[in-house]
Amino acid sequence: MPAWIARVDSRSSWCPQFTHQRPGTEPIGAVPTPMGVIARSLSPSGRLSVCGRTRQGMTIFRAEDEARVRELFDALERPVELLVAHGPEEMPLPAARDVDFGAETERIVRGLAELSDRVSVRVEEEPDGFERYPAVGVMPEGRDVGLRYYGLPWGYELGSLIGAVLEAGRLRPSLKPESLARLAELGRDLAIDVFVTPT
Amino acid sequence: MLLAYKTALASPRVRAAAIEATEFPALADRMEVYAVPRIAVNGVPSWDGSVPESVFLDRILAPAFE
Repeated sequence: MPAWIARVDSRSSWCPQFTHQRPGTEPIGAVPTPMGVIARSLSPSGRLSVCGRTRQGMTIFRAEDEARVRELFDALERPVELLVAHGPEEMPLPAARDVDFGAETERIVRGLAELSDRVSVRVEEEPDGFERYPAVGVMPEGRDVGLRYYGLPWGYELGSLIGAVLEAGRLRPSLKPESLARLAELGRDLAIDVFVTPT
Repeated sequence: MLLAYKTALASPRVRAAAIEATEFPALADRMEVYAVPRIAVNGVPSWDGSVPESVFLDRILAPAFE
């Protein structure tokens, strides 16, 4: 993973982060997220809801970060489709209620898809295989292999959605050979749910 | 989260979902989400926190999830 994506700008302790290791030596399994960068551009201060109205175009990154994500997306070994699923939404916590989650999710995902021909977006109303809304399905070559993000992917979770696209764009899985061998012996289905927060 | 996605990409029997806890409070309550990331396997809340790849595999492949 490129060093920039692992860079931690903020020393704050309010979310999971790496111990302060050199880029490239982070513990395996740690989520590389451009926290300071993405969090600043998508803070919960209400900037999220005005972003699309006060700025030209659909920019969701600062210029230098956008260039890097573009580069990473252009290098995908296979194209990735992002399916935005709309449907009835559960009432979120009061503090978040002024944001239209479905619309913002679509805006952010369209913003990602605009960065590269290798990433496309499709929008559907209550597609099969989605349990709650809004949601994003990450589909390598348009195939549903079970990758989902439920909720609005902002704050540092945008980094994990980008990471999902990068992983889905690989032709070969990036797990260690011994992990792949263990998975090959799996005799049952597994549904892994990871509860996250964007801040 | 990335590890869960990598696992889903590596195996047709695995699917992985990130769930934003503040946007789905009823579900987060049911799963007793107080710290994130909280990992549930086949609907059963299992552990909190990011772990290394081999530990992640140990936990999701544990017999408890048969």
